[in-house]
Amino acid sequence: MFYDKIVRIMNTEIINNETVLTVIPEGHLDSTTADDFNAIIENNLEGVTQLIMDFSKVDYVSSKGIRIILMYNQKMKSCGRMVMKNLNPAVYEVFRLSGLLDVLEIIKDDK
Amino acid sequence: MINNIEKTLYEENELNANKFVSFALLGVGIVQLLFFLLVKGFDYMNYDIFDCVFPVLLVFSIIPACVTLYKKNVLQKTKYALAFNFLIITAFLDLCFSYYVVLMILCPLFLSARYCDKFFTIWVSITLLVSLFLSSSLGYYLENHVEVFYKLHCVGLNFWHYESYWLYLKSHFVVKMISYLLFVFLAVENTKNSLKIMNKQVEETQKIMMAKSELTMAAEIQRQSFPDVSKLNLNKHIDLFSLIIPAKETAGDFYDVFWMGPDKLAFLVADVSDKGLPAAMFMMSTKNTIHSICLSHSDLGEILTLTNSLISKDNVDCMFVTVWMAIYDVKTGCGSYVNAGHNPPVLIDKNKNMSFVECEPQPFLGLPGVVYTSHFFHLFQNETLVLYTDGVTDSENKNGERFGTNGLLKSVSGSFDSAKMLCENVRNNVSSFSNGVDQFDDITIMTIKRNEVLTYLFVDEMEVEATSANVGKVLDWLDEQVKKSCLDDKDKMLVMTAIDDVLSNIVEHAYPDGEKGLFSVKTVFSDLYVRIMFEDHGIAFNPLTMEDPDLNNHERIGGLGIYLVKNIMDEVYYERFNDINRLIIVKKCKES
Repeated sequence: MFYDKIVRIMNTEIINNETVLTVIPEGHLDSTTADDFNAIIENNLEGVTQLIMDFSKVDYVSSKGIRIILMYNQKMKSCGRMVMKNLNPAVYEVFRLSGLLDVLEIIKDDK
Repeated sequence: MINNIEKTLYEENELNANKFVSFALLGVGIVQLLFFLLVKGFDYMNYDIFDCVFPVLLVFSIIPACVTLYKKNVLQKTKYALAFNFLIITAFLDLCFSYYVVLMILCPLFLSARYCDKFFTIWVSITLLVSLFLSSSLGYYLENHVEVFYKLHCVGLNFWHYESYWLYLKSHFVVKMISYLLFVFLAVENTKNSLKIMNKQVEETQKIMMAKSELTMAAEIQRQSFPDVSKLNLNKHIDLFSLIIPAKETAGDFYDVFWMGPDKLAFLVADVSDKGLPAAMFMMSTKNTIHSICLSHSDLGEILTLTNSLISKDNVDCMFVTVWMAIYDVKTGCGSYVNAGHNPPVLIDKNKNMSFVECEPQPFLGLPGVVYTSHFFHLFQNETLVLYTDGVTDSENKNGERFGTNGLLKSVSGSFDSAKMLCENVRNNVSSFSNGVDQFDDITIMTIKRNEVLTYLFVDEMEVEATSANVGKVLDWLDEQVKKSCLDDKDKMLVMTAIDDVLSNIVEHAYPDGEKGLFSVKTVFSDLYVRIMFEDHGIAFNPLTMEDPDLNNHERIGGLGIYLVKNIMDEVYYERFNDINRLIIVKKCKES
């Protein structure tokens, strides 16, 4: 079967500029990829005061992904800030349904 | 109508009285005829005067009596005509045979009492008195001036011989009149009494008619409470028809059809215990309770649980109602239903295979504290659902055989162009089956036929072991399909979000303690919607009953996944079926 060969790894681009960490994940942030995503950020978070999550390449975020986002949002509150940007309409809708629009700092478009 | 009762009753009485008087008149005529023939037989009686008796009797008794009996319908003033004839006869007889037939003169008086009309009795009394006076006077005149009458007197017939007219009147007529007045008094009293009885009867009948007309009005109000299906704006997706035949004026059965949203159609068929007016009152209250709760609630289980708690609260008479209710999405063909102690409906699939929509039995409405849960059902293209009450299956024929489910299944097999035709076919089959037997229970039939309106793009299914490693495979498999679906880009992503949450829920909760188990996913993609069904054999768990997460407290955001699923998808159904957890999620495509 075709799906046997598929291995789901989330490609996440990391731009680590000393205190500013920009993560640009690609694809689906769901139950299969949330742990990878979490690990990547965790490995690069040392000394970071500003965490930017650029979701321009993210298709959708399920509740598992939301947990990670919320976790880092909480974490960054004490030592800086976390910014979300370039959310696609589906992701924005999920955030809205989850009541996160007021909790997260969301920049709609930085272009 | 009620005012007419009085008229009808009096008319009926008058008609009977006419008949009665006609017979009496006929009787008098025949008796006199016999008397005449007998008398005519003796030689010494052979006088010319008797020859005129026959035509007089014929003209004034036998002929009018026969005419009245022949023309039975009420002729206005018939009673006056009859009475007049009677008076002529008696006056004539009085003239000829006064001492033999003196009692006969009371006949018209007593017959007039039969009409229960005081005015008429008085009229007869006076007229009789006048005619007696005239006949007596005529008798006096004839005896004294016509030779033949004098001869009659000699042979024993009573013509009166007095010295003067005044003496004659005094000794003959006045005495007669005084005794006669006593009879007049009795007759008038008798009339008054009859009238009283008659009025009482009229009053009683009016009361009965009043109650009857109230019942008719109640039946009319009930009939109007059943929705007119043709005014529901049922769209091209669905063809629905319903009919109800009460066993009495009012029914304990009912049905309802109404929209709960743009695509959401609620329909139900119900049967209240008992029949007639008490059942109708309980039915009205139940019907309206269900409908009002539907205005503020959308979950069918919750709607019926609430309805039940309301109607069972003051249910002292322990009435109950069986209900089969569904909330159906006409676009996706999916819906939820609750069967509260009702007969399972018949589902006819597109290949004309018939089956009953069976589920775990739940009690009827009327017992406090019952919690109802809904089940999933679907009605896809060219499928038909037949709802009915036990009045259909319990119908009996002359031999005491029941129509039964076999009769029902036989009536719904075959091809029908519309829901209406199917519905009427069942009705006709039942009525021809139970021909000649009184209908003892209300009969309700509802048919819902789903028209062919959508095109299936693709249908697929896969089954894997419930492990987190397999979630990715299933997600990719579904992703491929969702990409090709009719959903717009945003909805595609939202549906994938929901799918991931459902999958992780199954993997985490279905098989606890490291147990191994399978789960399957079945997909249907059409040009109108995307429908995905997840099935696992794990522990019974209805995710839809989970409480919504507290969105203000993000520390504890348990249940967010299912919350998202419920909010993203247009429809989410759960059912526990044969040890299978079945979750169906549906997303509709936006109309272009």
